[in-house]
Amino acid sequence: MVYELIIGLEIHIHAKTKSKMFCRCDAKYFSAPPNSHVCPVCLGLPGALPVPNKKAIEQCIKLSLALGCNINKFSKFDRKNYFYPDLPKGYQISQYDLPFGYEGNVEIESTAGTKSIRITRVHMEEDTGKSIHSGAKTMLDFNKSGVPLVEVVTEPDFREIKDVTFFAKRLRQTVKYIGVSDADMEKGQMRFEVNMSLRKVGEAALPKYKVEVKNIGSISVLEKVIAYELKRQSELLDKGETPVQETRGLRDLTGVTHSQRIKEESNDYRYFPEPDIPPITFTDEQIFANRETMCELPTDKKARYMKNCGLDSALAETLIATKGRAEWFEQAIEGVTDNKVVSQIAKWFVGDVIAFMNANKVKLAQLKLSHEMLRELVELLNLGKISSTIAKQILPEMLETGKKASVIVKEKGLEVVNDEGAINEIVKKVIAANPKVLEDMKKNPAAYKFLIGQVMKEMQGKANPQVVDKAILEALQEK
Amino acid sequence: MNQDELKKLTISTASELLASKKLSSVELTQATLDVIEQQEPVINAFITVTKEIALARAKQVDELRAKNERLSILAGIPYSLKDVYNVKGVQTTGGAKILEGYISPYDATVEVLMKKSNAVLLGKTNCDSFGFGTTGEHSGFGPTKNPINIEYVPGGSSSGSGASLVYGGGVFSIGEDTGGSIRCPASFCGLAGLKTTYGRVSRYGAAPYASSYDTMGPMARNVKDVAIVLEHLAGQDARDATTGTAEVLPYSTLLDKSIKGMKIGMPKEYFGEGLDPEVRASMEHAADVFRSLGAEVIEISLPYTEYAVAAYYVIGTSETSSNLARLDGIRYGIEGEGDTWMQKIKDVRGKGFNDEAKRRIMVGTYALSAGYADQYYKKAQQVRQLLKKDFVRAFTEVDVIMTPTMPVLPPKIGENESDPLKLWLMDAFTVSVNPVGVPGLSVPTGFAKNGLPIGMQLIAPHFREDIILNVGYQFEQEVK
Amino acid sequence: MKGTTLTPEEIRHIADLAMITLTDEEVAKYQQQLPAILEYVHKVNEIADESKGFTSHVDLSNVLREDEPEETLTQEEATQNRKGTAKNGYITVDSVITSGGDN
Repeated sequence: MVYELIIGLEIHIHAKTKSKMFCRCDAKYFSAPPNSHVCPVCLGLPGALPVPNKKAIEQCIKLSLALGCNINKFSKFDRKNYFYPDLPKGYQISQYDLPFGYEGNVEIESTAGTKSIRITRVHMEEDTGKSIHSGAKTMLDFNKSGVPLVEVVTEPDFREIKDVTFFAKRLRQTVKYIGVSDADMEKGQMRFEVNMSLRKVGEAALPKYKVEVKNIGSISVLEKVIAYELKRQSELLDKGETPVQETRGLRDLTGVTHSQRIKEESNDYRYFPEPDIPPITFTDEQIFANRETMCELPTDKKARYMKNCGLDSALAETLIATKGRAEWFEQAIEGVTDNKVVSQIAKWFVGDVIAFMNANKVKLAQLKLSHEMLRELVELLNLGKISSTIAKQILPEMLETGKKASVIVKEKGLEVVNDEGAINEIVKKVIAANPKVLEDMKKNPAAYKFLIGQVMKEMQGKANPQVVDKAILEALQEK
Repeated sequence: MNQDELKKLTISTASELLASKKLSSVELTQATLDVIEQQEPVINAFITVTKEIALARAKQVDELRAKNERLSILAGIPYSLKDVYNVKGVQTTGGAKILEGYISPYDATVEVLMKKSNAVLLGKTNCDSFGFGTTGEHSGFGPTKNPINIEYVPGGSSSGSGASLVYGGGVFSIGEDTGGSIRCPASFCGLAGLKTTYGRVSRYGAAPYASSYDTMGPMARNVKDVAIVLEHLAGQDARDATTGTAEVLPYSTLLDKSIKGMKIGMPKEYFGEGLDPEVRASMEHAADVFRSLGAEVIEISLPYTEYAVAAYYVIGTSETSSNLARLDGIRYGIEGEGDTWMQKIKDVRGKGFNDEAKRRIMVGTYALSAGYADQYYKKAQQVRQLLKKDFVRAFTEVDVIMTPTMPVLPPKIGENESDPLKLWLMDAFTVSVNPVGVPGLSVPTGFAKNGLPIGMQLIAPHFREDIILNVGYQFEQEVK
Repeated sequence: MKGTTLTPEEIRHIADLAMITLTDEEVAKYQQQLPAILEYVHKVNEIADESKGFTSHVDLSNVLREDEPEETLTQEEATQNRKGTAKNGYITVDSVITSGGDN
């Protein structure tokens, strides 16, 4: 039987700060020696008290606004009580009923255009310590304890796996854009939890069970987990059984989930307001200021590129991959009013410049190619001064040396040859050398295009391709 | 200095002797340590005596004084800390077995301030585990006795702080008050003890009982000493987000004002049937003294008083059940035994917490648990706001509220073991103050026929310690 | 709430939530003591004022800290109370993999 996916996501994101959430320990703990970035507060010593990090809260507000949320103007922290070795206080300081952000909305690209994903809440909490398993023991490192986390919870609005991955990627991109997090997956700075159930297609009510899978560290594993659960839950439902409502975990990166033998009762968190931290309040002015100073979000940028510049979805998507890249592009097209030219600049940037950067491990900041240089290259092309073959040829040199296109063309004499006479000579030569092409043309008229390449080769790419094309066709007609 | 002199020594006198170099800090400290050594086998007021630290700090002060350095009035004065305060390199137990052996790597803010003033730390005093107790009988390190009469309790939970001052083992002590823990031993030991306004003194580094009640405060031989110590402790701390920004007043200079015309309210709910007749008589005498000083003594009402104990205990036990969850034997304190990590945690908490601690943790856990939080924790918080309104309204009628500190005379050791609820109710007069957050000063008013002290509690509005210190001082001077 | 009683299972459940091992004697003792206490403190229900939601116990708000790190404890200090069982700077416990827990 085919079932409908009902999926909700919970994402934990490390907020980018210098110090921890409730203490002044250095938050850059990754790869530091164990228990070297700890203090009485995050080590849970008796008598230590939490004091919230202003910047971390600002990060949470920024993300809440970026996800279309309302901000709770009166908010607080709450204690979530449970015992676990990596939780030094025996409670986690989190937010319960008054999260900083609530009732938001995000538009994602889906099969039938766009789809709305509702954001239930965005709140702030502290991370736990790290557990490393070693035989019969677990080793505890509290460097990570107390690092600020922003938690985003969505409504169970996802119906397709690809919507989930699109959302996850866009969210990761967004947090990097607005500077809330580096979202380095390898450093565990963004983790997913998925709530998933299935229902028969056509049914309106939400299923009576929900399976939760925790601690998913990458989007590719997230995809595999959903696929695995879809199969597992479908098989149970086909048999007439209801999947057990439970939390499942992973033991590897294959996506296979395992039941965790957790006592249901241990989940009574006994939430109550954190008495050591006075409430947090926001004014309309503060919220407005945060909104106004936020940079353009990737979704909006993409929409603008497509609408205002006429770029297609795939190209626009590649341009917005990082904020740095998008900003470089925007500076490169500054003052350019012709969308055709914008499109050309986009393609050269994406195709050749970025390919060069990747191959040579060069960063945008280190690029010797300036925005003006790329604009000039495209201008020379559009003026017919150089051919696209030549353009493609000289761009690497521009990237490596920082020399302008016009300089290289002049130095090497690479201007387009329009001389029909010279071209006709070469055309005759090439046709004579390739009799087979005439034969091929009987079956496929477009086979003559091969000859264009040959002529260009003979002329070191300098011939004007339109003139060559015309010359070949004329010469062949005579035959 | 002999013990008799040490038993009467005040900050002012000691400071003068040290400043004039009639006595060195080392001499004073050594004499005090000798008394402590002699008394401790019977009284058990200290869990840890920090002999080396004390003599080292005393020596340092003497050296500074020799160079004619400007020193604080507290420089060279021996003091003790209730064993809830973290002191770097020293054992800190909170009076509980579960923390036996825990060597703290940091100083509580209170201790940082004392170090700055160059006072001399004698040691960590005994107390009912984590503040759970009114008599000093519920420590994991044995009960403390009242040196006035060792068959009787010294009061709790800052029992060792009170008892040590009685026998001359220090000039002042810093206790901790969550529901009467400074005021009660002050009353039972004939000392002045101040429960400060919540947020007046930093809680950073004090092992907690109830986060929204806990206060840090001085116990000493007279009101002036209490005022002097308060000056050195009060103020905002960046490490404690609940410390207020209210101005720190020069408390010890505001004691001489006349209290003529002041209105002193005696809430009728504190003078009902259960009050011991000798305590009642002592309060009435105190009221007469106030009248003779020109103050007006009037009856007021705090109608929600009967709900104070209930609300106090629901919130107190709830917060403490959470605060003590960090004691799992994994990072410090005694270790647990068992086959799994869970069993080890349960074992260490089972054997490391005493009966009273377990009882309160369980009540608090219940009061917060699913299905019960609404009727216990949430309701208690609402009642708390009503208790606050009682006091706010009362302070529009009077300047100071006066009650007995304790409804009974100091009981004998072992008297109340079988009835935990009865013990809780003994706190009835002190517990209403902590949920509201106002300051309360206990001042000795006289003695019972059996020679044991009686004390009264003076309560002022938030951050107005100056008022009750002034009134207490004026009373003290009058009855001297 | 007249006539509050607690069964041994309920006492054990509370002890479990609080992670405390109780002996059988203790279970019996608390089963006898706790109901009277709970019944007494339940009187807060008589006058609770539902009209307001959450009210903080302090007249403070937005007590926040600038995002500046500072030197804190050394690894030595952090593990000094478990010198016997700490390994290479880690604090050790029995493996958490075999038995469950919230994570």
